[in-house]
Amino acid sequence: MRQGTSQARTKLRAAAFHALLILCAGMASVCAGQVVLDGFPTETVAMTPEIVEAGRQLYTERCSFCHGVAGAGDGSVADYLDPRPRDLTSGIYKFRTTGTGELPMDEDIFRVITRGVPGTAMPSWTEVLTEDERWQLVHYIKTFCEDFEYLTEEDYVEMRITVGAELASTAETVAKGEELYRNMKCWECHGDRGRGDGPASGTHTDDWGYPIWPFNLTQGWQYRGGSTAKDIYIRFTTGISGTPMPSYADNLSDEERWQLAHYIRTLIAEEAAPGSSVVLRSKSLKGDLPTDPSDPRWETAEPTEIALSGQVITRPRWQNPAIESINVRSLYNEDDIAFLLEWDDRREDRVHQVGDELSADDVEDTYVRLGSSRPQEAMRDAVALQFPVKMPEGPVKPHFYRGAPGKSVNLWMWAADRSGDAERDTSVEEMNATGYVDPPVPQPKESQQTHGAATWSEGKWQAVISRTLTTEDSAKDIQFVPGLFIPIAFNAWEGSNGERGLKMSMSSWYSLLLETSTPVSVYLYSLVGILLACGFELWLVRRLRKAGPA
Amino acid sequence: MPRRRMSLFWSVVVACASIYVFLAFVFPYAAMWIAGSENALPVPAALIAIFMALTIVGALIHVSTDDDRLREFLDPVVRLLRGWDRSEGYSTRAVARLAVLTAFPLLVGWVVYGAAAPDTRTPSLLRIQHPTMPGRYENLTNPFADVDEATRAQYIEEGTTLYQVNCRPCHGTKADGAGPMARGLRLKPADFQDAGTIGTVVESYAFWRIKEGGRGLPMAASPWDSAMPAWKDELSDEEIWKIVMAEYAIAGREPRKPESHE
Repeated sequence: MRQGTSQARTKLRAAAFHALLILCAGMASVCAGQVVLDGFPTETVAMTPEIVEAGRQLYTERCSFCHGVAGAGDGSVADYLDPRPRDLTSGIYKFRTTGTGELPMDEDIFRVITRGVPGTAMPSWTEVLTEDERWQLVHYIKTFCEDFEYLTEEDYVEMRITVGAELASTAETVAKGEELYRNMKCWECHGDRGRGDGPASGTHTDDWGYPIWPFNLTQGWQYRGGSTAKDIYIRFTTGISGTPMPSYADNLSDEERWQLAHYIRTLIAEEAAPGSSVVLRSKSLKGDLPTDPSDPRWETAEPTEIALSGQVITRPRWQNPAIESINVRSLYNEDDIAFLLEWDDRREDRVHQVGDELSADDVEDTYVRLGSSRPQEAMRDAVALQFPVKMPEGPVKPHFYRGAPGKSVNLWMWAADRSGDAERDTSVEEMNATGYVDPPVPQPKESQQTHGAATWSEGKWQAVISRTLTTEDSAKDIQFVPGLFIPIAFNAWEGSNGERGLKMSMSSWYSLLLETSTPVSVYLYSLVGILLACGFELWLVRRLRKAGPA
Repeated sequence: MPRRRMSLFWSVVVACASIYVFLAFVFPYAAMWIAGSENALPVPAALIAIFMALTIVGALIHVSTDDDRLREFLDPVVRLLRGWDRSEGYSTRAVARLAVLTAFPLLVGWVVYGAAAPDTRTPSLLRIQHPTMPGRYENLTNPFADVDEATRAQYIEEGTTLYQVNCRPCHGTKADGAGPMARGLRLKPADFQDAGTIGTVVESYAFWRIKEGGRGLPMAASPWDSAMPAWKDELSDEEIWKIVMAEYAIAGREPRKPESHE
């Protein structure tokens, strides 16, 4: 009996020892060993000729249209995309867990196929391709670049980065990270607030000679390689090959890279997911409306995040818009209504050397084909609000893209190159459009009643645009009535991105509601209803009592 | 032991309530089970209103067929309204009577308030998803329907290139309606992988939608919310047919077969 117990105890000890060993090994591999990321494969599949052949078929069917039949990143779609599809023959891979300048691990290629590259044309292939199929692609893609053939097992072990234990994000680590952001001059490209607007912004090209902008670190949904602290830490460790973003593995300690990563995380703006609210609520205010974007009273108005896409309905269709989000607030009083529009824009473009007529290059194809250089002429930044001229009766509206014949829209376009004169603020121009065929028609000088003021700072425009609630010119102007859902849409142009005319960002229709308090008459009606009901009851009870025995 | 019969009034109330419970709660799950759907299939509120109106009218006809029955039906109501002898004191009946007499005016007040107060709910996007196609498209057939396998594969490849260049920005590389432009569009681009889109229409319907775009939609399908270009401005009919074939191939869906008239 006793012997049995002791035997069991020995076994238990042995088991505990083994468990400890496994745990230590596991810890070691997690702490200082191999990196494991979301989107990594669950198991490794070795290359065979059959797998490569299966990969070739899949590649031709799914990938060749962008990446090119021979993998040179020159498929039929390539010229329309920014960033361009990866040139798979070059061996230059942006998102890796290997040292700077190295080829990627198989898992890195697998991960990009699995989760896609957010903010680019590369989608996630999880639902369409099985894990085996993704492995087939990995092995086929590697055949495009012969450097992979010379890699030995040892090379793979050697080039793979190790990840130190993750530092917790605390006020202290974030503060250290902020200091590093300043000292390492991250701001030179990425800007003081991380909006990609640093002094060097706009001067870079990638290894293929195409213009490239520093990343806007505040847009969480755009992080190409993932937005966790670990993902960002890995970017500092590996750099982004083919781009001006270097590796900091030699300049920053492991701890410092974590600190910097935690600081970058704090730059990500807390997004109200664009499009989550489709009603822009204009708040009623006593007294004058704010004319300055920095007026604290704007804080009292509920912000609505408006999502924009490129204008893709008619030529020049534009699928690389710079402005994908505008944050809008609105306030109104008895006489006027004002809007505050805020959006990220890396450069302040206040000069406009060209008209809004597009060059032939821009309308040559169904979509604008990208040139290999930045636009030569200066173009201005601008934004426009769009309303139907007549409040729609029932659901029928003008088209959200500049209205339609017979269904006119009213545009208020603010442009950065217009400076206000003493008599009238001309930075906003009222226009009317009845479709996209003809350019919008500016209203005569005496009908211009909108006012505007805008400031650009640290990669962000803030524009206040206001008008009276009603105007004399009801044939051309929207008349604001509190309590109604008024269709509202937005257009935006980023000059440095070559946007002008119909080469622009645009939103669908949203609704503007000038919030009203419940009128007194409603309470009166309810009271009358209650009294009438009481009277009816009284009458009924008395009648019944009179008619029959109790 | 003699069974006590429920009074006519209460049996009418119970009948109406059980029919409502059936329509509003039981039927959606039964329909889900029968149709093999993943979600409950709720009965539209307008239909419930019609069924309930029919039920109540039926019940009223039933109770009013003769005077005795009507009297039996109204008896509890009349007694409640008239009140009971004071000598009974504050019984539960008296409390119930007071509650009913108070609740009725409040209910009326609430209904009036609801009808008169300004509506601040988000306006909904009501639209017909698959409007009827114009007659001139109905009898169109795919001119490439009867080609041999190799030619077909070639047309699909040509169509895929056209699709990837022109349609991909919104409808996505995988034809899942999630292209890079989809984020900024409130009316989301159609997801062709979804069973409810191109799989439910004939090829000529897809041809019509591409050729005429949002502009070609009837009013009931809210053309003013659609970002779909009218591709007749840009592409030839043959190119559009090739895109139709490619679209089905990329999404892994089959077009509905047109019904034939004998």
